[in-house]
Amino acid sequence: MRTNRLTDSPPVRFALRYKAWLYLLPALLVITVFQIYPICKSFLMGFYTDFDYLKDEVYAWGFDNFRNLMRDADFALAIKNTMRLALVAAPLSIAVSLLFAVLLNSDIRCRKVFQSIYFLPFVTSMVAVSIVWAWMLNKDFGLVNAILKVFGVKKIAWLTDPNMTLPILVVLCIWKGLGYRVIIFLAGLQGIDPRYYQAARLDGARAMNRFFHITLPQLGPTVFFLSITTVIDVFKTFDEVYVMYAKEPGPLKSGLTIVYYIFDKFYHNWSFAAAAAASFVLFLIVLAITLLQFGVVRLVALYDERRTSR
Amino acid sequence: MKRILSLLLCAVMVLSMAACGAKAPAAEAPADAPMQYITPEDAKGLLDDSGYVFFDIRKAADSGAKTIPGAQAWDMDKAKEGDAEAGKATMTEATKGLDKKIILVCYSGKRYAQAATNALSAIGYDMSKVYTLEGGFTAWSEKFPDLTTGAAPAETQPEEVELVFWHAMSGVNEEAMQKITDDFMAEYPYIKVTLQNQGGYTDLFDKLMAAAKANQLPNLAQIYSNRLSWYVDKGLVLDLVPYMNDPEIGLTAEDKADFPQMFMDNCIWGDGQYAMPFNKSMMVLYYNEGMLEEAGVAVPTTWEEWAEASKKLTKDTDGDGDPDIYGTVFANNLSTDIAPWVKQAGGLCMDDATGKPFFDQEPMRKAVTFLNGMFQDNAARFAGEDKNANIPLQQGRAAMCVASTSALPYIESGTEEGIVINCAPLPANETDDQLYYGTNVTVYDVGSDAQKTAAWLYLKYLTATENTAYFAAQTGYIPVRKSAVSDPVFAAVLAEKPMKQVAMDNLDKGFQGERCIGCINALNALGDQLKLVFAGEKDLDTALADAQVNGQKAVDEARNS
Repeated sequence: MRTNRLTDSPPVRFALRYKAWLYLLPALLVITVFQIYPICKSFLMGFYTDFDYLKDEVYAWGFDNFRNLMRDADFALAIKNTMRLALVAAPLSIAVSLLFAVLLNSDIRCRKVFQSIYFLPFVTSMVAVSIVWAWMLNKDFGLVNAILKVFGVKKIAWLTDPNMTLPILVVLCIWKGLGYRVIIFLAGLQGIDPRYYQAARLDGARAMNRFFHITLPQLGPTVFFLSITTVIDVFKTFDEVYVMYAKEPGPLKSGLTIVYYIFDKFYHNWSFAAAAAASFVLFLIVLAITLLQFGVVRLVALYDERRTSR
Repeated sequence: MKRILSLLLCAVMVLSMAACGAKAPAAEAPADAPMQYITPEDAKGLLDDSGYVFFDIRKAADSGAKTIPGAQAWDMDKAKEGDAEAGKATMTEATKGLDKKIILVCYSGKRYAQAATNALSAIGYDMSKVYTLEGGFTAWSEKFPDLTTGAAPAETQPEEVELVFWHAMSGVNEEAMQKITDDFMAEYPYIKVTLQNQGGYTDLFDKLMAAAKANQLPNLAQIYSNRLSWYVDKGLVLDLVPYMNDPEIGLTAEDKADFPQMFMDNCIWGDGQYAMPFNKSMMVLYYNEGMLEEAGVAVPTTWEEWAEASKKLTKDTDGDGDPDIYGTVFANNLSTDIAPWVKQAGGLCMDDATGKPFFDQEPMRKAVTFLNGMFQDNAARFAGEDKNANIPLQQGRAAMCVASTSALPYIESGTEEGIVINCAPLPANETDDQLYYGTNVTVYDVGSDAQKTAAWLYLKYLTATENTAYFAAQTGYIPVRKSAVSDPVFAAVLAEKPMKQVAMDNLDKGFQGERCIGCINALNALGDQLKLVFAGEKDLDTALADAQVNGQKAVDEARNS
């Protein structure tokens, strides 16, 4: 057996053993200082019931903030609005992106051009996009109503009618993230072995069948990844509402999302502890949904395994 | 006559020859100013007299090496060489805030002293108070060799101070503010004030809060009293009372009485003065003169007249069921702005001492019922996408609107052709109270003592009669000094623009809104309910009952941090 004197010496062995940690250290430091520490801190802050925010002195701890949160009609509304948005916007935006990705994947002309165009909204600042949208949707001077007028449709109060808030946010979410999701889907589509399709064609499978029985199952991990990131994105909805509705949470609070609620509590009401408690609840909700998604995927995999092993 | 003239000419010639200027003065150069001399013996007796100050005006190297004890070194080298402007600049700086007799010390009491005398004369210093040491430092050091000191003490001009002032003013408001600030800096060259626009009011207040946590508050900031109360409670604000009462830099009793009491009270918590009033305006009813005339409607003076007028003036020109011209447009957020109607109904929104909301009481019910009537008649709306209530009025899409007089410059410059806008006080009900609002400027308790003093000097300057008058003349705000009415600049503007007079005429009926900690949150809770009522989503009684509960909760929550 060949022995290597150098690597056997204790200090080098130690260094080799922890080499990975050394590489990770810079990133870990940044994450700890800017992510983990604030998370812990805000979690703790959620339990402050009497404190001096500036001096960081806490006089009393308790569950009051969480209790108040549960009783707060606004928080319930924020959760309801966010959930509704997530339920509608996330699946829709994934479906639409998949559709566009499949279209782009079928050797059409100017594919790169389309791809770039779809990607533009993603790289544009959300604030700029929201300002433009607010003008397009303006009741009296907006582009949308001007076009609708040509078709004889009556003026629609897009931004002041509470019923319009959800549809607008859904469309904005689909449009804004389209380019990004299409790219991810395209990468997934490229990874599918073309022989599956050839085999299917030989068996006479139609386009629809090929899509549902080859493309979709093969894209499983991609869909899963996107569903998680999209849901988290939707849960973070804030800037578009804040800008588009001129620093109001939409007409009659129809655009009050959880993040908006937290922002409002913190910056406008200066209820720091309540905001901390709310952000912790948001963290828990996102965590729960993500775990749920993992669970579903595992169940599906298990089910597939059983079916194929039979 | 000729004789007198020639005598005068002779005198000038003699003077100029005796003067330091050995080279013949250029033809266009002004005649030298006469000098009065003081003997070294007399000057010695004045060494410790605080009414006198010695200026050593020799070359910096010489005055730095050896001079008369306590003398201030001022370099007049350039002035001696004929650069009169440099001499004036140096002497302006040397005599800033100085009210003493000056003894000039040069080499022999001639050329340098003449240059300094000329400069002092040119900048208008009282020449009876300027003396030149006879024989200069040469004579002095011969007579009193013991009374010289190694090096001149550092110049006694105050140390440089920098101040940062966070504000939310833009457009003409910001320009006027900058002008006053520039004037201030010209008068106090050692103080530098940097104006920093932080965006709108909400942006400003958000940033202030973050700055407070990060221990980076600016020296000065514009702030509403309902926000400032929290900082006062936390001990972050400088109490201005010692500065105001300072015999040298403070305000006279006359000055203090010159501020309208309503504005001053807004800056006082307990025994402390934590701000000075700055940009104040009044909530008024703007109206389109042509529309009222056409509809045969008089400017409303009571709630009933107003509701009636609003209904008459609302028009659906294209017949689609939605009015294109609304009778009245209100600002988007009626939370803190509901105050005047509650007050006119004989009540208050909240108890400012205890923070208890009065949202479910009779005056509030009356006020909301009245406003709601206009909304339910579809004769009134919120500004909505127009953001500010005056916008639709300026574009002919509204006949009246409720807004602040601070909108005046925008109304003057941005109103569509053919529309004539005027304004009136808010129509009255049981009482005729009128709402005044606007921010004060506060000094945070940060930085050095020199900065705090400088901040006070700036505040004093900002609120001085001629400056507040200038600010009011340029903007839609009103002056914070009663005496500003007789300031020629502002008086001319008042005569020219009758709308400005409205805010001045109603000062005695004026009041300012609540400011207790948590009141904004409570009033916002009320505002949320009001929106539901006006949108027809909730009935008044339930809404006000909910507002009361939510409001009380909001106050409690705000007080635990």
